Amino acid sequence: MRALGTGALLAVVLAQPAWADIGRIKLSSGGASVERDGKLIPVKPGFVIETGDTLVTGARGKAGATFIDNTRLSAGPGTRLTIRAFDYNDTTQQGRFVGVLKKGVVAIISGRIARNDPQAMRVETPKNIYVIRRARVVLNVK
Amino acid sequence: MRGRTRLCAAVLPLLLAGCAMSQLALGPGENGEAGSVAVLNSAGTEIAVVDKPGAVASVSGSSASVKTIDSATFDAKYADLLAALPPQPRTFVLYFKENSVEPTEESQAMLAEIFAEIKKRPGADLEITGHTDTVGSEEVNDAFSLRRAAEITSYLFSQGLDKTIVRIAGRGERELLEKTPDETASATNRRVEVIVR
Repeated sequence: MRALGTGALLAVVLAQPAWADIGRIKLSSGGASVERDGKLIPVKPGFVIETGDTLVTGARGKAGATFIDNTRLSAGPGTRLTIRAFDYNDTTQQGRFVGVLKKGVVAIISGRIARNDPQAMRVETPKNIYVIRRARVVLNVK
Repeated sequence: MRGRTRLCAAVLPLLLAGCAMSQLALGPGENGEAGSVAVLNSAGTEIAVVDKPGAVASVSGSSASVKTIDSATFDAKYADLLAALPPQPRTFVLYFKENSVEPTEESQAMLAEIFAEIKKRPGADLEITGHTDTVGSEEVNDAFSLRRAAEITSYLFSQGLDKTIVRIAGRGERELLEKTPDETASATNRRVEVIVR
């Protein structure tokens, strides 16, 4: 590899499918899916989450995911959580995370996005907006 | 404010969809820090700040009522949900041999541990991030740290690492392990971190 210039080396390494993802499912049980472009896709560990996806769990379902800024979350039964916006700069570790919790319950442990900008992570519910700053929270919508 | 919240609770069975109450519980922080959450109404006006571990805020629109539970109650009440949270990412720090793209002997010994950690975590993914010391400009160090990460990445690929689970980054001199003034050589700071999520 020594013979490769920086450009060639980066071309080899950066041409990876993982480059586009924003997070991955780490756990799912009892019926958990992602709604994407109107289709419901059942998820299992390793499933790659994209901006705009809605995590949907059934009456007995739950799921856990880790995002590329180290934000971790889990969703309990009967949840609909949309990742409406997710921007992240790998070099500065700053970005924006906007989730929309329409119903159900989620636990969140904030990651680098919230740590590096106290305004950058928010979860919207039907009547309120929660701005999460370096915290471990449980949020539910009734 | 309390009264409105109670009214909402009273009519909840009748007007479930229209009520849309939400509730936020702030847990004890993972690394001892409490953290905080600002609660806004839908117009974006702040109506409360929740910053005491164990605080449970019941919120609807512009009304919020807060009670407190202890951490044992928090853990018990949300046990199933908290158990579904993925484990904390684990970081491995690798160093290079002098003037070489090969990891040091100690760092090579860590490779087996990295692969074992990946196996332990269903759906694992990796972040491979290069760091420099403070010698040189920020721009040069950003590029150089990315190159350093790429070198470790191609080395790990040669050892059989799944190419679809890797993301690489260069942090330049932003995250010094050893705090130094600018333009200071530091073997501690010249490193690559492999973070297994």
